[in-house]
Amino acid sequence: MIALWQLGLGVDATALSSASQVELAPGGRLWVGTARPVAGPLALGSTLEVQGTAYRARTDLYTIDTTFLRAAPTFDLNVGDERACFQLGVGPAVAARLVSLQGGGLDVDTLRVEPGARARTAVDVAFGAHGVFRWQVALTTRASQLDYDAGIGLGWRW
Amino acid sequence: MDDGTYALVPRDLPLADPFHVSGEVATGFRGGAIVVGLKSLEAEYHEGARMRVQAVEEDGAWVPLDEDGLIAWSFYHHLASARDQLVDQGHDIQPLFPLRFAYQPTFALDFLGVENAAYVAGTGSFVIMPDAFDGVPLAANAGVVRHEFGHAWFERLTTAGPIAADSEVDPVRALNEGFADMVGSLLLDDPAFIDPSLPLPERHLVPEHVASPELYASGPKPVLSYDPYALGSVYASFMWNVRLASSPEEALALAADAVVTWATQAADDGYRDTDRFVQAVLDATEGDLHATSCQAAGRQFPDRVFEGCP
Repeated sequence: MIALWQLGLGVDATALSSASQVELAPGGRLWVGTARPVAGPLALGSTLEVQGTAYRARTDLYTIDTTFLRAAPTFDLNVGDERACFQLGVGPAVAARLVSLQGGGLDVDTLRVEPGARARTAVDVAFGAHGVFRWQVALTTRASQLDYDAGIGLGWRW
Repeated sequence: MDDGTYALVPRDLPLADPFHVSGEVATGFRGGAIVVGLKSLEAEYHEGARMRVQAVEEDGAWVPLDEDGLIAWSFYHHLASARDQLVDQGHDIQPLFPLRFAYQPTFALDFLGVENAAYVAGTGSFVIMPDAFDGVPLAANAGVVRHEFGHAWFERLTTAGPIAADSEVDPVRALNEGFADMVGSLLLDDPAFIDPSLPLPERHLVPEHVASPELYASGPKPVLSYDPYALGSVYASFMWNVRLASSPEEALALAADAVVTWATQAADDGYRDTDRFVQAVLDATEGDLHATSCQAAGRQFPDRVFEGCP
């Protein structure tokens, strides 16, 4: 049987697409999920994730600070039991990116909201009565870009 | 800026498609691969995905929202400026365009990745790599972009006609690097154009460099065992001395003509005697400029006797 509710906190390695490559940065992730058994080892559910990261590009000429936040609800297919569960989720995503560019008399702060879609796969492994270890990889579209992230986290289920 | 410093300022860019960094001058790509044909041994660039620069309008100017976009647009601007300068000076470089530039492509030889901006011979393509310096990114350095364009121009000057100078021959590599430095320094009228990005005093053209026997390649060697920049800097600083006695435009025209003369005449020795480039410059000068250039050649190439000089 799969837990009905789960709340978790994790760390990510994020690769956010830039104009010509990806910006690698550490990030954090909070999630809340629920699942309802449907047949045998299968369960259907949903997860809401909120991810955040921040990074800086700096030279003597300019500083570009980027703060990034994304919320993504996914609809999940779970396969497994209380000890271990494989999860596949897809859903919409919305990202907010605050960019601050300063240098040479230029001072630009701009906030962009970028819709997209997210697909992720996770593995949950239980420990103790309520603990869950989660490993996850995901890719998310963001306007014209494609981002990647991979992370681990700890959850509490009930 | 006109005074040789750098700043974030609005520029007019001849871009038909700013989002993909594409226009009459060049088209940018992300990734892709530089591969070398097993039979032809010719380099080719296999294009990656198109660049995608997100930008926001601010006071009538578009501002890229990440560093890569800022560098890509700056690179394009410098390339367009170099083209306009050379066309204005009457040089036939238009057939080189449009060019391509690739951000961080895969190389068959990874060591080439130590170059932060480079022209890949035979491909019409520039390579841009991320750099880790605090100064102006190399691909956004006006002189470095002109230097790299100088390699494309050198290739055209030495191969456009019935000439086939092998750019892999070490002395040719030295003259190639020297000519690229001439293009960078003379178009900006700056003998230390790399400095805003990376202090490299050994590449400054002032004080003048002097040739010595160890700077010349002696026989075939592995690519990495020969430093083409040392002899190249001698040629470039010689042309800087010619510039001091003339003008940047005249010195660059003399250099371009001399490369063609050298390549045309030097087939018999496999293009190894690159000092013939200096002879070609001297042969093309007259009067006070010839006298001053001969003096510089005498100081900078002490083991060489140049015809026509006292």
